[in-house]
Amino acid sequence: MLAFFYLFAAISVISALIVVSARSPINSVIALVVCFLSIAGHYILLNAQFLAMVHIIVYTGAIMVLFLFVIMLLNLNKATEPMKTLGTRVAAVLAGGLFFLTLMAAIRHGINITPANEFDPGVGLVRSVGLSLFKEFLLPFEVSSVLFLSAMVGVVMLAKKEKVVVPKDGVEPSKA
Amino acid sequence: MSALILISVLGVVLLYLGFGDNRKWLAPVGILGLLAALTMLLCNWNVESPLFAGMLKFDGYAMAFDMSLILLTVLLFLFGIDYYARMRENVAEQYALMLFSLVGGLMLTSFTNLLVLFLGIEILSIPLFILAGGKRDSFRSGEAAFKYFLQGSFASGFLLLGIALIYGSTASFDLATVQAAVGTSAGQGNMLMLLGLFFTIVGVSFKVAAVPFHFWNPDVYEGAPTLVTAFMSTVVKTAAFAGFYRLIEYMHLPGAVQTMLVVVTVCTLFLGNIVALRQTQFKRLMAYSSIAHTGFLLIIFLGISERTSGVLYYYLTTYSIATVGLFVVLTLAKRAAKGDENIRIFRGLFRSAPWLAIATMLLLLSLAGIPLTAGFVAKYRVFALGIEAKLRGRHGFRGSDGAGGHLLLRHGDPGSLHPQRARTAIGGGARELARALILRRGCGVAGAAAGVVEVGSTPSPSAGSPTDEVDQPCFSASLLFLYPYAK
Repeated sequence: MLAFFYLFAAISVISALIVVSARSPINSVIALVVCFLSIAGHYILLNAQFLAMVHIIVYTGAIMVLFLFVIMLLNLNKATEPMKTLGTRVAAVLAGGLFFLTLMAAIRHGINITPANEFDPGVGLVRSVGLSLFKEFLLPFEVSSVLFLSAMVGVVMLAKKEKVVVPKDGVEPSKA
Repeated sequence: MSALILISVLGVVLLYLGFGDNRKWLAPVGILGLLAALTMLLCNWNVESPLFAGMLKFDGYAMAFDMSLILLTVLLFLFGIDYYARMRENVAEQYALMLFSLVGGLMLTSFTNLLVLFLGIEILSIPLFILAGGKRDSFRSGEAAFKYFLQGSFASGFLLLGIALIYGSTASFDLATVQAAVGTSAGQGNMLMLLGLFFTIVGVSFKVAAVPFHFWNPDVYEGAPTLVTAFMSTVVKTAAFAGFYRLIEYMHLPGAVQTMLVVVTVCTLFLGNIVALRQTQFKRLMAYSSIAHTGFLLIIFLGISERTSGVLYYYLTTYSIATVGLFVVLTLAKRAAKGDENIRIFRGLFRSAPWLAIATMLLLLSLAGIPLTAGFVAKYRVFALGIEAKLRGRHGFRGSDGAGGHLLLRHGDPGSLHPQRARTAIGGGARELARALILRRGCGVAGAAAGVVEVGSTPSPSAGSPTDEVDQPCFSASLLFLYPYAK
């Protein structure tokens, strides 16, 4: 089991690195699919079958395919390097490095990960997920419908065709 | 809870109303529904039982903020009658999205579970991404929507990571359990918990626009339609602060997190006030004003006592009322100046619309915290609490308050005081503006301004120590309905 854990962990970390470093958006998306699949592997190791299936169907299947569609429709499937000024790059490297240093300093003393509860192998089964979703977490489950409704309204509102689509103020956006 | 459900349903009802040509019914139905929700809320006064297995709790704190949020939305809907009068499309959607956002706000004021905090912030923000892009023919509006969306995604990412780490170290989303766990010595030394708290606070700081996380806020304020900007700087701000305070109220924050809060506060105060001095666009000025006010409010987070929540409420309410008033004035002046948003459009306002100019002046004075206005009392109480908590470096805080004063001196409508400049100013447009004002909105603005003055002048400034002063329940009849939380 431990060997499988390390295998999946290595795959997820490496594919996640490819997601952010790949030049072509298509490669990024494919690497993200691999990353999601390996995370689903982790779920199965933890005996969370329902979560693993939902993860594969929803994220890997539906959302990633949508991503690919968007990329193809917008014709982004070329390796592009977005224009970045030297200042931006220096700032990004500095900020990222500082953050990395902080995290390193934080875990230098060792992060003490003791499980707060005993591991319960039945926690990820469909039955227990359903029970906690509709008993303990009923409110978040129901209220998220408001979230999805407003997102749908927004999509319709922004994507509906209008007669005039010419920008009135052709002014360049000001820099922050 | 029934108020929460009613407002969600009201949003759907407004969406259906939008099918026919019912534009003139939208705002009245919305306002009536909101008032009904307010009544339902008040019917459950003092029923402080946790709901849904400890997900929400409508205690006095939540009630007070919910009332304030609902009344602010009513004010904005009243503003919307005029604002949306010439818009043809998507008016119903705009009202409905504001109501959905309000639902998120109500959840933020009453959550007792970190999951609900996250959902509340999402429900508050997602309608706003869309509303910010509401002017579809405007490049700026699209830019605002995109930037707000990116910023919001970052905030959600940080918040979710933080909540996950906190869950990892306590095995609970429950606020009381987490607060208790942070207080123990094991919790204080736990790196996972520390990182979790850090990321959670970063996530929430994005929503209140504290300084390192404020970056695109001025662009968003500038690009979004004026009514949406007003909504963002009042309702969203109030809800986000209410949620933030609820999160850390009973939390004994570890030293490192405290230090981070101090740094954020000082940066917010200085940057917000100083950068505001160079702004010439009114909405950007308001954005920096909003950032500066965030700084003032963060001061009271540094030493929490049992009076803190009352001061927070008072400050946010006075700030929000003044801000809504100023945005109404901006809309009128902008209309007269044919879409210009530079602060020069306020020149000569006293000549063309003296009462409006006086009201504007009062609102600005209140925002800057000049004595005899509510803003002064609010700032005074903030500093009194800060001094009580023995904050070091309070002179620094005072200094930046001075910067706020300069802001008013430089930008606070100087033209209205000089007759010469007044003659050269807007002229014909202004006359039309004055007529529109007296007919329609003048009373509203004047009323808000009067409220601001009245609230400000009630406490006796000669009372003894700062602590005595803060103890006084300082409110007057005009704001009584907004201030039930005074202890």
